[in-house]
Amino acid sequence: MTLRRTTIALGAALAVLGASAAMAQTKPAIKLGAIMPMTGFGATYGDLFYTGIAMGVDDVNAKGGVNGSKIEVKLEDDQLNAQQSVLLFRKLVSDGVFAVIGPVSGTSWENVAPIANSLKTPAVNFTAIKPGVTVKPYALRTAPAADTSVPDGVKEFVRKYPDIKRIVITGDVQEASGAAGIEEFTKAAKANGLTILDTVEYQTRTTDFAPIVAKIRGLNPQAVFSCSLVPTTLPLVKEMETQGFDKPLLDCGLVGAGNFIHAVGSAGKIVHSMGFATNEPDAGNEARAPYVDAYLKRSAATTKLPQPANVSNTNLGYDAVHILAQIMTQKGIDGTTDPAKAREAIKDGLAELKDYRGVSLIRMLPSGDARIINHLLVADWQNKVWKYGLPADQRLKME
Amino acid sequence: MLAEQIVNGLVLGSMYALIALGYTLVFGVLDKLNFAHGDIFMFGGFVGVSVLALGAPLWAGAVAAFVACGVLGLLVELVSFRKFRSHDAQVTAALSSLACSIILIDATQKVWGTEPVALTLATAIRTASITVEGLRVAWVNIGILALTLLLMAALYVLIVRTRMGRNIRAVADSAVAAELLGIDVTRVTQQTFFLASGLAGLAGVMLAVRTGFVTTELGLTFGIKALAVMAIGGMGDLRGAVVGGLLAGLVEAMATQLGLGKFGDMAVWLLMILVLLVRPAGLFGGLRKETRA
Repeated sequence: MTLRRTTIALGAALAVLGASAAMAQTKPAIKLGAIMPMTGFGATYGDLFYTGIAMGVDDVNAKGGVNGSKIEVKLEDDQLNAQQSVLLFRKLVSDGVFAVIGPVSGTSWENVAPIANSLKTPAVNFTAIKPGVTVKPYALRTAPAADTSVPDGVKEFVRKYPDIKRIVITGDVQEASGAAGIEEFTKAAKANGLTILDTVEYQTRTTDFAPIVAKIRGLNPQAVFSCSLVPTTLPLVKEMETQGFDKPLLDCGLVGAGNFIHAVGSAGKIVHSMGFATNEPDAGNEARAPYVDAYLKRSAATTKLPQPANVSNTNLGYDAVHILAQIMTQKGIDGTTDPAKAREAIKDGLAELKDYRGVSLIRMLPSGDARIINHLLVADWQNKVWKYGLPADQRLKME
Repeated sequence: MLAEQIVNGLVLGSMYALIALGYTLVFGVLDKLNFAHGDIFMFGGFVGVSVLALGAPLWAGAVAAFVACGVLGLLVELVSFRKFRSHDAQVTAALSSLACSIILIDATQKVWGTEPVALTLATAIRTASITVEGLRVAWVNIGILALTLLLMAALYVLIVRTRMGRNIRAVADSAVAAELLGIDVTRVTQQTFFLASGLAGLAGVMLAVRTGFVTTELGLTFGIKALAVMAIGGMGDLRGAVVGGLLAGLVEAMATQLGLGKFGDMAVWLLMILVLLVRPAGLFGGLRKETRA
């Protein structure tokens, strides 16, 4: 009798387990959206950032997914065009995604963040640097905005070059991140006791930088602080090389990511940028080196990115997937959850997020942006990689 | 510093002029705008950079770009203009050439990628300079200015002194009359496209040498300004293209020097509007009509 009961109980348990396994296998996937520039002007950024996102998805799915549902990412290509980003965000919402990762540029984020709130769909950005444009509670930026990253970079630059006192600020005033960077450079330079000789402004479609560099040279600065995207910074520094200008140039972080390092050549010998990560091991962060190794292997196998790929901040895409997966797990969300309920629960989870220890330590600020310590980077143009500008013990640390 | 900015403006303006000459030649002959011209210029830069990457000398890169862009120009003529000769087909031809332009950008991106491609030329060649009375000028800028002026002079001689030039002028005046006189209008049109596109290709290589890299954005940024230059100088007038180009370059350089860099990009367009308000046919457009009359 006891044996019979045990057999029945065991059979019932097996049946329940089997049913659960079958259910797990048949549970619909959780749909997330991603908006990246996969073609055109900024396609390299798309390749770089999406590789990190795809690694995050594979990682979560390999561990069983979220409450039994795999994650599926619906990738949309905005060609780094803000209008396109808005249209694609709306499309993804109607497609029923639970949350969207991206878009990439500051101008796109500035436009999408308010819409994320009006459509009540969480959006996580990890690349834009323009401050003050993240709109809570549905929009969240897991990257530092220029108002925290630029002061870090300038502080480390001053540590490296204590004799530099006179600078010129230059940049693209037409592009949101460029204009924001110029503003933050101005504040940070003053805070560090630097004299700003002049601010030399230009526009996104500037074709000839000879007059701009001649003007900068004429001001005789000891260093130049520059803020513009790769397609404008590249001709600027090439022209500096042509005109024999050899003073240090500090970029606001816009060229630390992307393929600038592969295209700059010997003109890169004066270039510094700022960022929180390079391809080098990061002292005290054990997660970084394995991520860099895995990223380099994957990008070599699945993309046409020149190698070694500039891993830089790509891990924030990887981390964004893990953050969303963690929130969805905690909130009991799976592929069967009603999208509206899932979105609201994810929004609550994002609001509760304080510190997240992923490949980077991300500290969320009340503004909805993240605080990650930025460091001075120097261009190792011969090996086509960025390196930290200061030894580990002289770098800034998180308070 | 002012003198240096004037030199910068002249070098920039000479390249605008070289591209504008191509627009002008085609417009003069066909009375139609070739919107693919700016991207043929961009393509020339890529050809030059690729040939230099193989270890070839600079002149070989320039010749390759001239020929490749010339052939591309023939293709554009065949696809976008041959069938649309009538005056009514202006919009159709312009749209067709715009389509060629977009296809060319996309094809270039497929082959060379979307990122800037660096020029493999000894840095010393780009950075060598001469200082006279405190005025520092890079040899590369002197070379570009000299070559551009030489090409303009050669083009002038070709148009004014040779049979080919006479034919081009005849077709520009009246294709129907030229045909009645036994001139092969199709052939003249092809010659014009080859020449105009070849010059754009050379300008592309020159810009690559000056800046150290090429991108697929150049047609939309640099190339499109040459359209404004053509309008400033007078549609279809070669002298206008040269003067308009130099003027546009000087205005851009001076805008930066005067601290108006944030308006630098629109300076050329503002200049165009201003010139057209005062002289609706451009600086030399009216003169051309008067000469004809």
